[in-house]
Order: sequence, then C-alpha cells, then structure tokens
Amino acid sequence: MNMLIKQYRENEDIRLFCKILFIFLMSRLFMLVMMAAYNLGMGSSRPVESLMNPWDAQRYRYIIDYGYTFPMDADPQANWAFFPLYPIVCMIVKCLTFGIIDTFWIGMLVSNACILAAAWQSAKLMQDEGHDEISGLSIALLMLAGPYAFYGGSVYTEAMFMLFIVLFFRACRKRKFLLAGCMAALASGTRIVGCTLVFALLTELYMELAPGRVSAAGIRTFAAKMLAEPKKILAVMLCPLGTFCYMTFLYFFCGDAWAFKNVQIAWRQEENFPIIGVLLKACTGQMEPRYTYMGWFCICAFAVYGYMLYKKHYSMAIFGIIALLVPLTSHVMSTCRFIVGTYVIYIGACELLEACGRRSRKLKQAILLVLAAIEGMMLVWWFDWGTWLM
Amino acid sequence: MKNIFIKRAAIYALSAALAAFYVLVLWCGKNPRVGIEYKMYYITHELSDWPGYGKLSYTLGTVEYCTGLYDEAGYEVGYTVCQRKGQGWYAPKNTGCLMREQSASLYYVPDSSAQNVQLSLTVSQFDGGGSVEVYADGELIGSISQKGEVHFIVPSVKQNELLTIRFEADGQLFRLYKASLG
Repeated sequence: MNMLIKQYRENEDIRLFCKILFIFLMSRLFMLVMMAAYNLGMGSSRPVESLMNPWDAQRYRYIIDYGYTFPMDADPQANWAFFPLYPIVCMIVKCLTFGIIDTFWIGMLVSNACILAAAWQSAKLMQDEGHDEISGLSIALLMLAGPYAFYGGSVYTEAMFMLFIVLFFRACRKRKFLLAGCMAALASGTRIVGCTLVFALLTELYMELAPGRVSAAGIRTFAAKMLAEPKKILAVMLCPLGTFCYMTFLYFFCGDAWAFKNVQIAWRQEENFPIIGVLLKACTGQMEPRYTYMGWFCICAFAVYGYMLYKKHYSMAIFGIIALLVPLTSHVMSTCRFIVGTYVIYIGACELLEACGRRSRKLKQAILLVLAAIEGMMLVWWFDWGTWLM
Repeated sequence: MKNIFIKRAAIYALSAALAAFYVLVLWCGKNPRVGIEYKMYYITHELSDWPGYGKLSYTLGTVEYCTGLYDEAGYEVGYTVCQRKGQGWYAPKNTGCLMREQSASLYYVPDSSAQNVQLSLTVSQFDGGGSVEVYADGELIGSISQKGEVHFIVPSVKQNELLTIRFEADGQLFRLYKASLG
C-alpha cells in the first residue's frame, strides 16, 4: 500500500490516470443514476445492457455472436458496412471469458476500456502540445461526460476508433511515424474514415521534412526526403492496411471487395449532390428536423476545424474535415456520431474552452456544467432509442 | 553498414509489397465475382428492390404480383411478388406499382429458351392520353393505352440470359398490378 502511495506521489502519469479514472467512474455512476431515474419515470425495468445499446449496437452484437452474413431475401441490409476490428476484439474477449458473459457486456467492457485509455492518452496529448494538466482533464471530462459521451460506453466502434486516433497523434508528436502508421492501420480496420489518417500523417511528415509554407519547391523537397527515408514511406503505406484487409475478406466472402460501400444502397436510396447538395438540403429544412439539426451540427464542426487551422493544428483539422466530408457525400445521417467519433473535435472544443477560461474561469466551468447537463438529457433520449442520436 | 543497407532494402520491399497488395485488392474490387441480382441491386442500382440471390431467374408461366411482400395487416402475402423491378417505379402498394419516371423496367432471367412468348400484364391504373410503349430488349412489342389486361408477344427468350421489359411513358399515370411471361 505504501508502495502505491509512493508511486502516486512520485509518478505524474499515475496521478493523471487516477484523476481521469475518477472522472470516468463518476461519469459511469451518473449514467447508472440516469438509468435508474429513467426506469422509475417510465415504470420499466430495462437492464443496463438494453438501455445502453440501441440501434447499430444490435448489429454489432449480431456480428460478435455470428459474424458477417449474407442479405436475406426480404432484407438487403447486410452487415458488411460495419468494420471488423471492434467485433474481432470483442470476440476475443468473449472467448477469453469462455462465452459466459453477455455479448452486450463484453462490448461495453471493450468500449469503456478504450474510452478510458483514450481519455488518458488524450490528456497526455494535450500536455505534449504544451497545455497544462487542467486542459488535459477538461478534454477527458468532455470525452467521458460531455455531449454524446454515451457512445463511448455502448457497443459502438467510436471508443476504439478514438483510442487509435489519439495514439496516432501522440506517435506523431513523438516523431514515431511508423507507430503512427500502425495506429492508422488499426483505425482503418475499425472504420473506413480511419484511412483518411493518411492525410494527417502526410501533413505531419510535410511539416517535419519541409517546414514552412506549402510551395512547389517545398513539395519537391518533401518528396525527395520522403524517398530517402524508407521508414516514413512504410508508415504512409501502412495507413489503409486495415481497410484493405477487410476488402480482401469481403472479396472472398461475398465476391465484392467494395461490399461495405455498395451495401449502403440498402439504407438510403435518395441521391443528393455530394457534400454541398446534402448540406444545403439538410440545413434549409428540406429533410426531417433531425437532419436539419445534423446539417447545422456539421457546419459548427467545420467552424471548429477552421478555428483549429487558425490555431495551427493542421494535421488534426485536415483529418477532421476529410473524415466529415466522406459521410457527407451521401447523407447527414449519423454525422453527429461520426464527428464525435473522429476525436479531433475535442481538441478544438478544448481550445475554445480554454479561450473562454482565459476570459473567465467561471464561464468555462458553467459551459462544462451545461455540456454535462446536455449529456444527461441525451442519455434519456438514448435509452429511448431517440432517432436524433442514431 | 551492410546491415543498415539490408534493413533499408527490406523496408522498401515491404512498402512495395503493400503497394502491390493494394493494387491487387483494387483490381479485385473492379472485377467483382457476384451474381446478376447482386450486381444490378448493389453495384449498378438498376434494380429498385433486392430480389434475393438467384431470384431474377424466372420459370416461364409464373404469375407475379407487383405489390409489397406484406399485406395491410402486416402478414406475408400468399402469392409470388414481382421483385424484378428496375428503377423508375414508386414503392409498391397493394393496388400495384406506379411508374415514377418516363422509363421503368422489369428484368427476367428465364430458366428455359422459347420463341414467341406471351407477355401478359394487368394494368390497374392508366390516366392521361396517349400510350405507354412496351419494349423487349429494346425492340418495340406494343403499347398500352387503357387499364385492364393486355398481351404482347416477345419474339424470343434465351435460357439464363437477361431479358429487359421496358415501359416508356409520356406523362401517363401507369400502375402495373400483375405480370407473367410465357
């Protein structure tokens, strides 16, 4: 015990982890209280795993239990759109526990472990970027108890995806580009937009090899230096590996390497002009109200990414923008989840919070409280299968 | 020094192998090994409904109804539903399927060959003047100008070869209820 206390006092990392673990436990306690309040209010007795896992969580559970399947005659929505790394990890954990634990609990265990690790690494990333511990704790608070934080506790890929992204950017900060490439490969096996981390990596490499403004001469220098450094080339080449492995699997499984993309037609048949058409239609209220909200949420996200560019977080902002443009080529559906799941929005939000905090500490605290209250309301909506959150 | 050279060469080789792997997978993606239903629904989007694997195949003489799979009470219907509709149709209703665009199609993959096959259609709604022209594999085989049962002759159908029946309208409201071939 004395050894542990000594470690806690002397090791800054452990101290930081303990603080984040405390935030994590408090946020989960808050979720449990909300669940009890929901059941009391609704006169129901739905268990935790049922409340926390609506919508796609059901599909992930099916994949974890039975794997990928072919479309049935009456239902073309095959489960190939869901990338495999998260279900694979859940399958492994389920095997290790001899299959005695319910699949939802396995998934929630994996997600919670990932989001806790992501929040911890994120706090360290903030410190890597020159921020103080308070900023690190703020970002952890946002990730664990801010709006949409419930995704990190559900059977969804968001928590694992965020963990790989945080580790990717931490590796970039430490100039360990090969490790960053490996993290991007894992991210691309978790969600398709993980592939777009290649643009973040190229940005980081450009800033390393040809610092200064982007110019023709700079690009030539960058290309020449890249070719001379095989490790950096390998790092870039590794980025989409996860997606390509999944494509290989799909080719042998159903004959179509692009099945994860082609299957989207079974969800939505309406076709809009990519990005601009989609946003215009959503934001001007030509779709359901929830899509109008999502359209404006996307606009706000772009504004935050713009602010991040201004603050010189180039690679993060570029990744955030491209990762948002990908779903906007077809629809605004689920974009709030995608934005939160690409993690970098938290860095921008935290920077904005800090700017507020510099003006007034109380204002920052008030904003954090409001955000936690929003998460509370969203939780109730989530338990109720709210379509605005799917 | 030699070790460093070998290490660098190995990393270059690994990068090249990854690039080759990606090109190979992209080539596989460009050349999918899928059935006609999969290709027409998921890839080319020519089909508006997913018929199921192998369900475009057709036994001559089968009567199919252009309604949904379930009745108004939510029970599965007891007849064969036409799930070979291409783009250009509205979602099916119990009264049949309304043409949405100027052109709409039905696709058949007959399980036997035949000459001069009769195409029978039951039209449950026809509003507007003029006529809707009917084509079999691009060849005009007749036209529809009122509701009721109509018959056309398809010159030939070939076993396991796609036959496209296309309807060309000019602003008419045309609802198809029943179709059979052979």
